[in-house]
Amino acid sequence: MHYNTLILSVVTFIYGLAAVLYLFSWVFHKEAPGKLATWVTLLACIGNAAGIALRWYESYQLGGGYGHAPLSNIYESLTFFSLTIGVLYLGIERRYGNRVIGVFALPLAFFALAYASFGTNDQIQPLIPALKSNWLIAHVISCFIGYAAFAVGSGAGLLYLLKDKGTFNISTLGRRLLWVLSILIWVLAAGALLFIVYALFFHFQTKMSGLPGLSMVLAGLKPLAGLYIKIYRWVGLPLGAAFPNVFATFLVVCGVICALFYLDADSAVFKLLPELNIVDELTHQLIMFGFLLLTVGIITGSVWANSAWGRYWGWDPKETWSFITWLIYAALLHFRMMRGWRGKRIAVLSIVGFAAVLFTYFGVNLLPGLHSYGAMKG
Amino acid sequence: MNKNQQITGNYLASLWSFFASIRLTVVVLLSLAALSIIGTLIPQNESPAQYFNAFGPFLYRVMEILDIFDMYRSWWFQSLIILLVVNILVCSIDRLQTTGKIIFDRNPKFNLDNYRRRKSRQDFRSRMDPETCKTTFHQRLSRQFGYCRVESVRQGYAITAEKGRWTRLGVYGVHFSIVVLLIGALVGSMTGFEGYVNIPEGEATDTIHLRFSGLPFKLPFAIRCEDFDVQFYKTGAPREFRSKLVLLEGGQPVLNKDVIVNDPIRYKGINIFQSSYGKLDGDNPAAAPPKEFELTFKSAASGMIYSIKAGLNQTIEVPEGLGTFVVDGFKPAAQFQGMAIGPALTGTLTPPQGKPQSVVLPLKFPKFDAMRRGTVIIAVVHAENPQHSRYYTGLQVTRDPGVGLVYFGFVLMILGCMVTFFMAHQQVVVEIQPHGKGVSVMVSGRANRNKVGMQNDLERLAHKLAEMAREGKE
Repeated sequence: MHYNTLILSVVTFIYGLAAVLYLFSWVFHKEAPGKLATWVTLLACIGNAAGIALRWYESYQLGGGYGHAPLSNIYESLTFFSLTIGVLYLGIERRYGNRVIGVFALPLAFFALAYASFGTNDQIQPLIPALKSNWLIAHVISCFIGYAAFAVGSGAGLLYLLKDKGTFNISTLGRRLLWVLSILIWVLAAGALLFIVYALFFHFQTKMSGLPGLSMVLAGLKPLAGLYIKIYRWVGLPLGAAFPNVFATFLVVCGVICALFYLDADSAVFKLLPELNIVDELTHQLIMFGFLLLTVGIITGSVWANSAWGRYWGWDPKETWSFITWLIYAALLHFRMMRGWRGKRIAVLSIVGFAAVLFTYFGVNLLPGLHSYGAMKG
Repeated sequence: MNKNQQITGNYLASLWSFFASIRLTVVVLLSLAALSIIGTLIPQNESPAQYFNAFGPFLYRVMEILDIFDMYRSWWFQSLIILLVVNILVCSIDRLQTTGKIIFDRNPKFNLDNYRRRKSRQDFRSRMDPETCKTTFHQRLSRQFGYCRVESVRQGYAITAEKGRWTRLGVYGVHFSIVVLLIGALVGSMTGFEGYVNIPEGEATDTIHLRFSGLPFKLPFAIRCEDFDVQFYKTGAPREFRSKLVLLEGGQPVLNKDVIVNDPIRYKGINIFQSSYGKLDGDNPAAAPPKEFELTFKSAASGMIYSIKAGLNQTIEVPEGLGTFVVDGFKPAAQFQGMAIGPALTGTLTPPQGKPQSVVLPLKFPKFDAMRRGTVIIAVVHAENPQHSRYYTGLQVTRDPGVGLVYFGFVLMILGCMVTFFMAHQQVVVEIQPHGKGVSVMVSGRANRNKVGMQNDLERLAHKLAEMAREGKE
């Protein structure tokens, strides 16, 4: 029994709560839940950091050479990722004085941690020889801070597109189709979310067996979750341990986007969004920051590879994909700095870039290569 | 003649502007990104047979012609990279002149009207007299800005200041670093090598096999593997691979070092990495007869189990007076009624009365002897091999004289990015005009990058100056 995974499970809910509070504050124009959300996020970040620190300590308590900085497998990197998103977001909120970005940033932290908590193996695993390197720690930290910056940057890009909807000129038919599509997506997303809640509670119960109330919640959720599973089987969607949350994340994001695009450009919801040029500048700043850290991440990884395998670059799929991501962002920076691209086009590119980041992180494990130890073992 | 020259000149000029264009840069960057994907979908440098089986004869042929199976070293991928380098160099030369003029300008021009028109200008008033105001502000600004000058404008003064001119060079640093990296890679591939060698424990070799070609390659020294050791965690995952290596020159040991993963030997520009290991006996460690084994004798009458250790051809007294037993042979691949039963000991059991019986004891099936339905059931619990099985260590041996350049490129790239993204060439104008009994002050400025940051800096500066003016007055 390790307390770090318990703490990190609880923190998942706190991030979720913060996300809901930000959304509530935005949709209903209330200041109080927004303020509360900031504190809840801070609490979640502290809890997240404490969980990681405790995991570090507990790994040494295990003895037998298990001790290591908790940055070695998919679970550990995701917990670090959510912490980085939380901290980065709080920094932005403080600097720009706007809480709307939280609506886009906090769900990312929530889903990253939810996915880590029950989609991956949360056991403390000992380090295989290749991972025993200080360069690894530098590599993972800089990569994930960079990824978090790109994540929040793409969130800001999305925000830009929402605010700048006038440029899209959606027709009435398109609007209706969008409406139908968003309802469909929301129904699926609701099911997936329900399943996540069920799985989280179930996960929670196995960690804290005999907690009264939990089993009742579980009993209540079970038929609904079962229905969801049935529908998914019927539609023929795969149902792995990790699949529903990834899928749900995707659905929720799509749902939010569709619903928001359906709204009128002058809808009150958009009034609270920061000014376009500020969002644009924020995206740019985040991407520059992310690009620097991605560069540092690739370089430290390269130095590490040279000490472990005797070559600093080997065109391994993970390396190649990080290179592809780097090229996409490099192109974005050139478009912006040299050709003066602003606004919508940069926003779209920031989202494309983040898609490449996601593939570098998740997709590459499906391809063969040296980095496959990063694959899920759960 | 003249016309011809002009045409050649035009061609050259348009060629130059082609290579100097940002459009070319982004096209090359995005093409590199798109084409790189191919190599992540099709595993690189596998054996031709595998590709042939996977793609069939026609596709295999086409892909082979296009170098798809080794695409990152193909002529077309490398040409794209060369195109990028030419683009970088031409762009840099093209723009360096302008940048140089700005950086080495002794008397930078500040067009005051431009600054007055800026939306970001900050204004405040103070009752300080213009002269004191000028001196105080000038002092303050020269502390913060490398270049700081006072001019008389109309009835008052304008203080012009700037800093960070050199940060305009950051972007050249980033681009130059890419060229350095690629030169480093080129040096590595032209003058270096990458190979591997398997050395059994206790043996030495000076010949490795090159990666890709597989050709033998002689090192200037020999490597002897004294010992190889692998440790495991409780989970069974490997914890450490350690090779005790000695480097020999002319038969004389020159270096003695344990190599583990992430801690290679570096000697005379050649690096030796721990990369794999294996057992010499191959998959069948039981090929040799065990030196010692532990047997159990279960008495059918009492059900008692006795455990006895013995060696080959050693007579064992079976407990409860059930006779004697001798293990007299070992079969690495024994058979019983046509069935393969793996390695087995063979023995002879001689009961107190009656004929000796031959007994087969498979190592893998301890209950096998129960089938005989004798007075005693014999099983092998543990059989030890004659010697601890010998390992070989798999080493990766490389020489890459380009690594220094590559690492220099890395450092340059990081520093260049930091300067380019987060520092800027800032120019500030503080204009002081008499106004009533005091002064009216305008603070304005601009930067080549990070306009929002500049705005914040300006606001902070204006705030600070206003505060100083107030304090100076009181």
